[in-house]
Amino acid sequence: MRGIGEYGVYTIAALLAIIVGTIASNLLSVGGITPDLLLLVIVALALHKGQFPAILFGFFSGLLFDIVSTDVLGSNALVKLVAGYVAGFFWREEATIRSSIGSTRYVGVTLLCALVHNAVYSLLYTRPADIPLGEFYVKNGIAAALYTTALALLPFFYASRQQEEAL
Amino acid sequence: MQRFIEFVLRYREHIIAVLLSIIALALMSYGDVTQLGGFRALIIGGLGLAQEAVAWIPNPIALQRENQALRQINMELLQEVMVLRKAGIENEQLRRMLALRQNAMFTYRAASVVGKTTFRTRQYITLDRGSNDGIKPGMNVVTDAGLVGSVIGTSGHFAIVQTLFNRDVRVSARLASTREEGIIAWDGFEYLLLHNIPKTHTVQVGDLVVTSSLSTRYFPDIPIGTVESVVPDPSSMFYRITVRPRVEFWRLEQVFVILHTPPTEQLTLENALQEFINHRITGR
Repeated sequence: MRGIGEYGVYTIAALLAIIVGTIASNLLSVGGITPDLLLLVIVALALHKGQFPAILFGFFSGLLFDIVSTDVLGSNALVKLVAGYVAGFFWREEATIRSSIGSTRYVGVTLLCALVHNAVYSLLYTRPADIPLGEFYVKNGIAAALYTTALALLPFFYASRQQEEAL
Repeated sequence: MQRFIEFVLRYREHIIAVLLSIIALALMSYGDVTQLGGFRALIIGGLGLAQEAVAWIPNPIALQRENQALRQINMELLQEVMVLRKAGIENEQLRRMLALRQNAMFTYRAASVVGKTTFRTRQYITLDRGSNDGIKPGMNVVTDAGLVGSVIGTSGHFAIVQTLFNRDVRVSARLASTREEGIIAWDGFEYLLLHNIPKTHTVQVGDLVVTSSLSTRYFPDIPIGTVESVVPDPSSMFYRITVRPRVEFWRLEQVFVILHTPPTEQLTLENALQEFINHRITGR
């Protein structure tokens, strides 16, 4: 799984995340809070491939998500590229896909990126409306970030186990 | 030139992030996905099919809540039926006396909710009826409890409905008891807010809020919710009125689409005026 092949895997993962996140969002919803599956893919790519591809990937996958989800065009493209940009600061040159996802750093970076991502989205979301930003962010932004981070534990445990078996 | 190329290569991550952010912001100011036309109908069709395919998967927590809610509604409906029977007889007598013709009833199309889409609490529902069933964007969607929202897009067999729990939705509404006019908007959480009701008026907790005849997007007198709390806003001359929606959006399964669109002439004229004002403000 090298070169274009690796990007192909991330692209398929992103498409799956968009499809599942769109058609099954109600099943994943807990008290109206939904996780951001696409963010998990973007953070994994950023830790594995670096900041530049993560920004591009975040932008284009976010744009696709905007189209599919009927959200305001450009809003998810912006927040996803911000997430890729932030996550890219934690990239290490020797990273492999397993070492990226199988490290506790993946969970921590996911939480950080989800918090930043949701903060920017909340700002965009509440700005034109009469919705209190702080209250909205505490309820939806932080809760959704924690939910997304909890889901990040699944690929983390899987990849760390794979790593152990490989050693 | 060499130094410029070196600079770009060195800071390419930051430069591309800024450029793409500008593009994203430009797209946001350009408009929403409704402007994608036929491509969007394709997406709605695809989404509808996919959501219909997974609609059979039960959500036990939601089912339990729904059962409780249905029992409650059943009790309330029983009481209402008794009252309505009496009112119906009285109404019949009065109509005969006044020789009034029956009001023209709307034509409704029953539809099942095959998908509920939540994007950070912005809610849409997907219906299993589309343009082949006569459903068009702009049509109002209701239940026996009240207003759900309006259709924003259709494909041949599916329609997407924007519910009241959406940042972009404003509904011209009024208090049924006093006929006082205001604007309904989502509070970002579980309630709606009724704006623009002056403190000089009397508003009671429990008052019914219905759609107003001033609305260009919704038919009048559709129930929206009941007043939950009334707090004078110290920073303005209006109340802060919280409204509990009558429709429980999380538990929607069956809805009715009113097969008429509100008259568009007034809306077109108002939009043209708004556009003219925007141009004057922005100087474009």
